[in-house]
Amino acid sequence: MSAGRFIHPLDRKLLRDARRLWGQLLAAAMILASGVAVLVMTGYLFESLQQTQRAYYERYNFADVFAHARRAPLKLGDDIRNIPGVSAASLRIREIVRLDIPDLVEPASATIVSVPRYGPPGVNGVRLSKGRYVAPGRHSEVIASKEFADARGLAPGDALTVVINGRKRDLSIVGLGQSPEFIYAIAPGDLLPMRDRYAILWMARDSLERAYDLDGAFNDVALTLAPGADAQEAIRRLDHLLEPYGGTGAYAREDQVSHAFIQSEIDQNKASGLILPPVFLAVAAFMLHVAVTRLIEMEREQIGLLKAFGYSNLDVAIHYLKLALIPGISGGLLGAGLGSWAGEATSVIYTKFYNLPFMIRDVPASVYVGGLLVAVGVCASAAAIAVGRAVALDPAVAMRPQAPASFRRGLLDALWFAKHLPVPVRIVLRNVSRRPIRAALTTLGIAAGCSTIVAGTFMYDAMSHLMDVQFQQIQRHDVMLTFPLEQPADIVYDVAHLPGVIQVEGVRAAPIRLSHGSRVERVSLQGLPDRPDLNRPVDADVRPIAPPPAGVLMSRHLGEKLGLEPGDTALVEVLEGRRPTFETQVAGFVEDYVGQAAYMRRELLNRALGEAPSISVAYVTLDAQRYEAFFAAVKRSPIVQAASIRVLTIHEVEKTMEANSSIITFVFSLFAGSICFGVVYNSARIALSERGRELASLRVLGFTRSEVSFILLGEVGLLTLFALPLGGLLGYWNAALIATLFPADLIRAPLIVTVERYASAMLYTVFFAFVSGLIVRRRIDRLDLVAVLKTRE
Amino acid sequence: MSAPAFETRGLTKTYVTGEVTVHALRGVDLIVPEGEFVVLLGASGSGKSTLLNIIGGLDTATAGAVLFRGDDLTQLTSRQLTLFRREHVGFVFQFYNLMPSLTARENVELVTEIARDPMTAEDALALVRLEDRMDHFPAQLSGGQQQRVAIARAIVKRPEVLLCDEPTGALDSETGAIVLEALRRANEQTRTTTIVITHNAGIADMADRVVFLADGRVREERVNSTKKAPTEISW
Ligand SMILES: Nc1ncnc2c1ncn2[C@@H]1O[C@H](COP(=O)(O)OP(=O)(O)O)[C@@H](O)[C@H]1O
Ligand SMILES: [Mg+2]
Repeated sequence: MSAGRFIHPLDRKLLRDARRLWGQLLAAAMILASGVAVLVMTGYLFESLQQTQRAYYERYNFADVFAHARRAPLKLGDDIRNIPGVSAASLRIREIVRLDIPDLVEPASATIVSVPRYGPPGVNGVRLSKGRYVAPGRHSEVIASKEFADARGLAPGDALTVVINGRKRDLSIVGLGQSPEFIYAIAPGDLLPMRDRYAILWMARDSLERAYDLDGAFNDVALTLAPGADAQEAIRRLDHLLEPYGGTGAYAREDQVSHAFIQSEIDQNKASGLILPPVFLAVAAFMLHVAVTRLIEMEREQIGLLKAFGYSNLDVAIHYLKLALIPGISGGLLGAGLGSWAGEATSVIYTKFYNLPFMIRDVPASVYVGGLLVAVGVCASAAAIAVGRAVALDPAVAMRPQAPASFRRGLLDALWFAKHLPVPVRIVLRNVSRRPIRAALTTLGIAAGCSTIVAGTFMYDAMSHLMDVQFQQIQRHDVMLTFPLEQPADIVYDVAHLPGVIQVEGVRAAPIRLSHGSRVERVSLQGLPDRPDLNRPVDADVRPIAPPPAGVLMSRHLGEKLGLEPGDTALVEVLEGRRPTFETQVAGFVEDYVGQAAYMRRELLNRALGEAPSISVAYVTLDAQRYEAFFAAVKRSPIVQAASIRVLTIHEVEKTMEANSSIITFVFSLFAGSICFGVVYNSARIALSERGRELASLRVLGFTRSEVSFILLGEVGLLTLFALPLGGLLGYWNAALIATLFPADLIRAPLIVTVERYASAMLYTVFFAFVSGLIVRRRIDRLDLVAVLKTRE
Repeated sequence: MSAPAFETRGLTKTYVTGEVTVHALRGVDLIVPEGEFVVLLGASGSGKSTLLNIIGGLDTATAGAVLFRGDDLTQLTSRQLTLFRREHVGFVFQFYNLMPSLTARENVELVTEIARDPMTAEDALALVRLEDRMDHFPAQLSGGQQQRVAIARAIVKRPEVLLCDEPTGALDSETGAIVLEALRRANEQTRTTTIVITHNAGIADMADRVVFLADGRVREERVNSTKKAPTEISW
């Protein structure tokens, strides 16, 4: 006796149906799995990143408010701690120093931060990953950031030479540390972290006090706030307290660079989890709906029979729903498994990339269950609509064969050339126009696949445009030298005399608060020469614009955030020196993609600050032959704080892009391929099922396989053609959506999609459609010519 | 007399499905002269359709030979069989097998587009008396009308042979007579060799030759000296 006897006959029918439809069910399951995988993966990453971030911040007391000043007395600490809502404050010394690394031609730099003499800081703690804490009284001891040490192969016990306030000092690394304050550590003037060229150094306060002549004083504050405290109020009060001491404006955690990057990474992750999955789920739902509808259409008489035998509507409904649950559950499980694997793998990469000390992988079950439920829900609802119709069928009606498909002359036939089209072409056109909704949805599905490729790879075009504008048109220097304080403008002559220097341009940069009505932004105001050449803003057409004799230029992004238009008046509050405040006209917008800045003529800024002509940054172009000699001289100079080298930045960006791009392209092509493939395959299979009989009749009449294939595949081919421009358009919109995910204050992706990008996305789409067409074509070759003649459909 | 349109020699067809072997044809020897109207009679399951399908190049024989004007069809590849059907054979089936997406005229044009020397679709439809229904879709035609479109589609390319498998099987007797009349007219006007399968022995009276099949063999063959018109036939 076989076990089969215990299976309900209806379930046996179900298994046979499933075996017959395996191709379509598999296609739906795979697309569903892709959607669920992305959903679960992004859910996993979001949860684990968010929890990790929260735990890291909490354990090491990451500050809520930050501020810098020139020199404030430590006794101000009481007032600061008394600001309502402040729970703890670290009064620190924080400086940028130059690092002298013998095997590096160029100078490197470090941010050096004071830590209390005894015990770890109360705010912005340091996590020791190796070695020990700095000991009191040992002025040369330092904790180095783990990232930097790892990149340079340094360990506790190694020495490090820094230039502190113009004097070389040999320091000894006693420990390696990490801090939530510097998860994403970018040197001033840089675009990306340069691990081997930028360090964070923690040093005991007394060692720094002496070096910077800050005995009993501080120049940097980090505050934590009590839960529910009003951050804006605290910022206002802190500003007020620091103003007499050269405060440059306090800011909240949201504006802290490292946090902003990490947060945007997390948000970006979450958002990307919302872009792709709906496409996949919708496509899978559509495919399944069509497949079940077709099955029910073919089984009309059987349904009528079942009902005539006394099976209830519910029995019939459950029968077909079960079929839909096969891809639902298998796709859901596969997707959840893949997603969790990918989430885990990606979180390991993140841990490495950001040097996170730990990664919490305590992902709630709801992420997986949610993915599975979504899959099952999508399948069930896709089938339910079709099943509803089956259930509504009156048994007597159901058992009558369906009337022949009725066609009418459509719009197409009204066209004058319709009569001259070959009949097979007319068949294709009529079939498309007979089911316009299905044709539209199929087109949309293929277009979704195509758009996924466009959107997935648009970052190439965006980044190469960004790199071109930012590093060829705007920044044309080789090196940017930063000085610790403003220097007399004449210093450019000294710089010009350094070996290999071809051209020098001095810029006075100062932090400002720019406001328009109630909107305020804290940015850098760049005082440019009248005719800037090495660092020159450009307009929307990438034409250089010089700062006007009066008024300011600003990044378009900044202007839009402040609600400003060219011609409007903005309020500038310089957060340095005698802190002048003045109104000025917005002379124009500048097109840039990195950071946000305002520009005006340097004399105007110098005059406003009441200072002699001075600069704080020098842009330099170099004779490539004398590159090493130049940096050797810079390393000897006491006043250069940091040097940011353009080619290194470009290399770093290209390295990161290359590392990511091949994976991203591969993954997106895979996704897009599965969508195109699934939709085309499904649609061709359905067409074959509906018209197999017609096609076999044509074969009987002497039509060759190719001719018959044309009639069947011509339809999907035509829809694929329609889908291409639509896919391009959707791809552009998707790209626009992705562009909005960038942390716009830091970096903006230009919405540029090149013709090549569209063309290759379309080629891919055609390729996938073609391959799935070929697979279905093999079934046409196996059509049973004799069988169709014997039966009436 | 010239070579016959068809000649079969020891034609055998065996279907093996699982453990069951069905001998559909057990050695059929038959000669169909050019231009004749032949009726195939026989009980259901006697092998009529199988024979017709093999003659028409839709199916392949297990053993034996089918000569079309002296050429052995059993030696042809599937592609050559397709060409054979395309160039020489017209088919009419019990269930019409029209393209629902095409009008009557277009269904016929479907064939004229791939034929070498077709008549016009309009002429073919006129032959079956459907001149006024040319732009109707199958769903807008009655069964008999649909079948006449199928006949027009079959004869439009001026085929050498016309093979009809129970063309009146799905029709009432009156309509059936009209369809048969259309077939006979086509045979007379184009001198097309025509083979018609039917259950109705009465139809035999309008044929040149009547072949009885039983259990996969030719049991009897009869040549009519006088043919009746379809309207004279008793159903
Ligand atoms: N594809 C097939 N598989 C198995 N047996 C078949 C197949 N086609 C026909 N037969 C069998 O061959 C025999 C002859 O069938 P057919 O030629 O269709 O008879 P007729 O047309 O005279 O009614 C029948 O017994 C039928 O069951
Ligand atoms: Mg038969």
